[in-house]
Amino acid sequence: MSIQISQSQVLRNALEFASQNHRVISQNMANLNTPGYQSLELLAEQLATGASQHLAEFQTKPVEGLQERPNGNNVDLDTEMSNMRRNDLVYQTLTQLLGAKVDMLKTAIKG
Amino acid sequence: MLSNIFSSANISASGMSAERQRMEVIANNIANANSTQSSEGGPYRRQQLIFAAALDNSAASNSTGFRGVEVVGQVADDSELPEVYIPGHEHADPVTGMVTMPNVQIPNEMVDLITASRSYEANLKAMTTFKEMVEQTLRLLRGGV
Repeated sequence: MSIQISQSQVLRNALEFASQNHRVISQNMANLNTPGYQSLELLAEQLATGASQHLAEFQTKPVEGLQERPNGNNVDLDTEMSNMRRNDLVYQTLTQLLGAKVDMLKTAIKG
Repeated sequence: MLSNIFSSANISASGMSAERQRMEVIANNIANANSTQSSEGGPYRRQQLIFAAALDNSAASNSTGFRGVEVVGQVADDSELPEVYIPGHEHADPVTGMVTMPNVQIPNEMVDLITASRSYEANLKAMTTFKEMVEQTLRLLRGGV
């Protein structure tokens, strides 16, 4: 039983991370034309430690190595688009895994 | 809590709203490309919007308290106004026949319009993706993926 709980906990943390990641990407895209805006990303270490994190407490850091445009903005639309697509696929995978776990529990209850 | 769950949608919406406002200003600039008189007197001056990244007041600068983008102001372009020789025009200089025209340049406006339109699409795509993610999660409640 303890193994099952920890598995759903891991899935829960990862789902939370993915949904926060989507927010960060949305923020970058919304600021595509904001002068001086620097691209942000989530600190990857939080994927493992997200357990006790409240939704708003995820930390971000500026993305390094991006080409800055003359107005001081360094949001790269193509990078953001591919990050978003990848994040979406990760999220779908996680929900399907969680769904499979729920199904297993159902089967165990019904027999 | 609910506002937190759907805040991704709000972020994308703020981006779409800002880009739409920019399109409106560009349309206004193009419409007034030949207006030699404005409410401030003198010819029309090209207008520009100023964007700024929006954060929650309570949130630390390195957390995810995002609120998207906001329009913080509209400024007139103070660059030089071109003069065109149109004698007999109502606003022409009686001596030289020169008319001061607005400093709107159609090619620049068209480029801005395309940028705004593409940025709008990017925000719309982020919104659609978020909708799919939420639907996927809600399907879990209905007992099947």
